[in-house]
Amino acid sequence: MTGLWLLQGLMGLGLFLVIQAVRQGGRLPGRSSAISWVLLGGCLLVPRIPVGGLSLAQWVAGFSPGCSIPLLAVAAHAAIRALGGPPLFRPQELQSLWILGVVLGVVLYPASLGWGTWDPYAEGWGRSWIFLVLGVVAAVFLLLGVRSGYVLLAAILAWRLGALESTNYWDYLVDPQFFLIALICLAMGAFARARANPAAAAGSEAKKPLNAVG
Amino acid sequence: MKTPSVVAVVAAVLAMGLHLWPGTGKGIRGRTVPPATWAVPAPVQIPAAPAFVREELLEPGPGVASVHVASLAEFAPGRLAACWYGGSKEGARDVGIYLTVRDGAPGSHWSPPTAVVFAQTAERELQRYVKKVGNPLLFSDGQGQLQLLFVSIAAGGWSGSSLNLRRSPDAGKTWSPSRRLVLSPFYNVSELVKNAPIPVEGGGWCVPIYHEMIGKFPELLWLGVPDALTTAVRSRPFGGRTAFQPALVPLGARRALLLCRTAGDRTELFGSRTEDGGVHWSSPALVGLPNSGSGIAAIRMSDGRILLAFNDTQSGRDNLRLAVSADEGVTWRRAATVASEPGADYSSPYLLQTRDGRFHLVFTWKRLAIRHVEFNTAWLDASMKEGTP
Repeated sequence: MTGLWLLQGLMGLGLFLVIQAVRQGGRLPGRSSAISWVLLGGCLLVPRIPVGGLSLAQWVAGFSPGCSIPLLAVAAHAAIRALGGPPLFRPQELQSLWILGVVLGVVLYPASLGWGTWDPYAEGWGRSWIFLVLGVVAAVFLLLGVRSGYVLLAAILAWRLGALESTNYWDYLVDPQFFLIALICLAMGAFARARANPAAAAGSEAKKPLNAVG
Repeated sequence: MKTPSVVAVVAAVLAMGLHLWPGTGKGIRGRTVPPATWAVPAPVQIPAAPAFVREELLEPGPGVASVHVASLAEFAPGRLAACWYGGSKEGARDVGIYLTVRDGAPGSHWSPPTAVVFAQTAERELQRYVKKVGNPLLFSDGQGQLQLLFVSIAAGGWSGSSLNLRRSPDAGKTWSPSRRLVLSPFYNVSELVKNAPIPVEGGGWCVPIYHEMIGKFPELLWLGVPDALTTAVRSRPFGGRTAFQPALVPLGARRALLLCRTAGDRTELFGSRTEDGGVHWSSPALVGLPNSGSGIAAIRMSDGRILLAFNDTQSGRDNLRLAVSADEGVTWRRAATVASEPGADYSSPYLLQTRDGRFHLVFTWKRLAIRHVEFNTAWLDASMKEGTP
């Protein structure tokens, strides 16, 4: 199955993050130690364990929607942080990925379940406006030094290389898991800002320049 | 601008160029589907012949107690293949997809059915957990090759279905491994198939498929169409919860009628039309025939009329009737009743017209067997004269 290795990687990273979070009491960045690296290697092997004729990843694949490139990028970011490494994304870059996930999910999922006649998913097979729009967004992000642009770029390249089972570009940009995680992260961020500074929560964040966050 | 940014923008432009460059990658040709041109032969008048009809029950398969959803294909002149799903009960883990073939020679019989896919087969080939399989659709280009679309489910009921494709180069003796088609962004579920595909001019197929999770609506699967950017793409005639499980009837190269089973409170058949190769479809409208929420079949006859098989009732499935339209589905005349018994289940009809001009109807007979009715135009027309208008 094309894309199974990406799902295996995602599952391994997810398992590693859960165990690291328990070990380190949720603190980031984590500590880089031999044990952490061994743990990561072990976690990446777990999805390959055969159970009842299928590997664990193949069992999960039966129910999983696959994994989009932004979800993989965010998981890789979190894993590197948990190993004590430098962040791949700054907080506002992560924020831009969450916004991207939520916007794409809101556009895509209600329509895919039959809400209205317009079917945006069908655009992902064609030479469509979404490639142009997201290509421009990626270029603007990269010009501004926002690393989320690399994720959009990677999604286009992954689609061209056929890295996932799907041949539809949307599946490289968003999946239901990423949509849900993005929704939760945005909601938690808004809640945290509102608790910290109810009056100026929204306005001051918006005015802060991107390169001021790090 | 910093150098890394310049490099990044150049990379972005290259990536976009890779996408847009014609002739690269996965068979990019130039445009998307729809629109497409359906391969519709010009209407021909069938020479006069005596009325003919023959009925038979197809064996369900070894140890099979319940069968459903049959389809037919003419894989070589006069040679037929039929398939259905069967097992201890609908949706059970032991349900398999069975295939039988009939030679073209006069007096030939259907072969004993053989299982071509079980859940375990699909699981092994798709490399993922599969709880059950169902709804097989068999079709052929008539050159000996068979293609089989079927659904697989990992969790839940039929609305959790995904579509898979297998090919046989030798009329069902051997099969390629199943390939899963990713057609929905939401867990790739609720993609089902039942009715006959239509060949597309230049190659490939337009398969009427449908969605039934939350929304219930028809879709079109464009399979192997040369102009498509990928080998399997999907489009949607309309959304919502009005009608689904479509039968596609080409009326011309760019014109078609979609007849759908009701998905709501209205116990009537719905129809929708396109005039531009499937890009735009009219809002679903009532056709003037009843529908009890059961599947239908419809084909374009070689003389240009439309033949429909349906349960002629607003509740239950205890009869199965034919109807014919000579004016592209505007009005209908009822023809023969092919099965009728109070309380019985006659459902999931499938129609095919073979190259010799004869019609073949298969349908689920009381969930115990598949019934095959073979008839010609003379018998159909005679039954219309006798039947209710």
